[in-house]
Parts: sequence; structure tokens; C-alpha cells
Amino acid sequence: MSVGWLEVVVATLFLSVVVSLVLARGRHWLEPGFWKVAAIPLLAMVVHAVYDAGVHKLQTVNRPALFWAFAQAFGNLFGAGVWGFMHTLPQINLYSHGTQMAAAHGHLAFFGAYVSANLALFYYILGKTRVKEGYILNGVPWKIAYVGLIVGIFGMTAALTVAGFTQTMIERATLGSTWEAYIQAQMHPWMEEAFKWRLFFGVVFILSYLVLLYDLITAGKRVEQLKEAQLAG
Amino acid sequence: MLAETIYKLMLYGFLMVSFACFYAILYTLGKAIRLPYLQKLSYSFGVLQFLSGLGMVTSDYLDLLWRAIILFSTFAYLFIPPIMWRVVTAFHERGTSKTL
Repeated sequence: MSVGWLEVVVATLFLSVVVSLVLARGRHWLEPGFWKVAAIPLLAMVVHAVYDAGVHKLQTVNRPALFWAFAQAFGNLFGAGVWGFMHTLPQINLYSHGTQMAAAHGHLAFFGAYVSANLALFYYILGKTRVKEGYILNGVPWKIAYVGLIVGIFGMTAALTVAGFTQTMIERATLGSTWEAYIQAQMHPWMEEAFKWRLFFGVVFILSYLVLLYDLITAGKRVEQLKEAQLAG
Repeated sequence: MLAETIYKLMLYGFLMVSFACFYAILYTLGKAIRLPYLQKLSYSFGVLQFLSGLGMVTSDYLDLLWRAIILFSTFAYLFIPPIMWRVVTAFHERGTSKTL
């Protein structure tokens, strides 16, 4: 069996998910010190993704699988790496733990690390099982879902970050985590505005998710219809 | 004062990994599509990453152990893109040409 570059990408992606999962769990259990180096494999993964994109010029028979693999590399780095790095230092986490900052980190990290990886594998398997050899898995719906889901998750993350920042600074670091401090932070304009934007991007996300479901259910059938039309025409 | 310290540490942490990310992307892209100016531009992000890390290291709020760990990470991030480039190219040369 010859090994194509998409197989190498998907296999690396799967391995990196397992490694990052172990490292991430390790970081949460063995908090002192470990989190600072946990982002290093995530950075290495991005190097690999950019290498593949540049050298192979995105030529593949399964574009959605490839693009979700890229989303995994970048989403994992930003969600787990950048957002994790920002507030997981114990001296900071003492104040940010349990705020919307943790929710922002969780939203982007899980989307990047696991949702994107699963979607890449779904499309890869779809390409192997529902699409006959020689057919190219592509189309408009997956692109709409891809852009919509990424805009939605980054929008929610940005909104939650603003809300979490407000909680960390006002409720925790300035007013000292009292009930009164909690109420004041919840009524702060930054908090109220952030929750409105979170709702807006949540709606964007769920609409894109419906498009994704449609594409996953019908992609194989549509590719075959397209090929038949090409042969008939 | 405490809020300001927390805010600065969060900001430096955010910038440190973000710049490390831009450094890695531009470095790899510059090498992959043979654009030397992108590679040169990437080094400026490497320097910015290092400076952001130093911003955390110089904070009085952290004790020596934490400063040492952050300093180690700051240096490590400088070497990740070139080392990973070698690993990935070697990996692909072996992986894609081999028949299993």
C-alpha cells in the first residue's frame, strides 16, 4: 500500500491529538512548571501544517479533510497554546480560574484540538467510503460550514475573553471575590456587551453546524451525481 | 496594583505565544515556498516573542523557579521552527517515498 501525503497528515494529526491530550492532562495534574512547555508540540504541529500547505500547494483529492487538519493545528495552538499560556500560570489562574476566561480557553482549545480533528477524520473516512476513487471531495457547503464555524468559535472566544477579563480584574483582583464584587462584575458594561456578542456568534456557529451536517450527510451522493452529470454531458 | 500586575502578565503571555506562532508560520512558509524575505521577517517575530517572555521574567510578582521556567521556554521557542523544519522534511522524505 503506498502512503500519500494526506495519509501522513491525518496520521500525524491523530498522533498529535493523543500526545497533546496526554500533555494537556499532565499539565492539569502536574500544574507546577509543565504548562510552559506544553505549547511547544503545538507550535511544532503548526510548522508541519504550514510545510504541507507550502510544499504540496494544497493539491489533494479531499479538501475538507485537509482544511480541517489545518484548522486543528492552528486552533489547537491558539486555543490551548495562546489562551492557555495567557492565564494558566498559577499566580494568574488564582484570579482567573472559573471565570469566563477559562470558558474562552476551553471553547477554543476543544474546538481546535478535538472538534477539528474529528471533522478531519470524518471527511477522510467519507472520502474513503462514500466517494469512489478518482472523485474529488469538494463543494460549496463544507466551505460555508468551515468559515462559519471558525468565525463563530473565534467570536465566542473573543466575547468570553472580554467577559473573563472583566471578572478577573474587577471581581477577583480588585474587589476581592465577594458576593458584592460578583454582582458588580456581572453588571459591568463589558460583561453585558460580551454576553450579547457571545449569543450572536453562538447563533452563527449553530447555523454553520447545520450546514456541516447537511454536507456530511449528502457529500458522497452529490459527488457521484456531479460525476454522472459530467459523464452524461 | 495587583490587577495591573495580573493584566501585564496575561498580556505578555498572550503576546509571547502569539509572536512564537507568527514566527513559526512565516519561517516555515518562507522556507516551503522559497521566499527568503518571509524567513527574515519571521526572525523579527522571534525577537518580539523573546522580548515578551522577558516581560514576564522581569516581573517581581513571580519567584525564581517560575522565572527560570519561562526563560527556558522563551529560548526553546526560538529554536522550535528551525528544528521542526529539519524533522518534518526528513520525515516526509522517508514517509512519502516508502512503500508499505
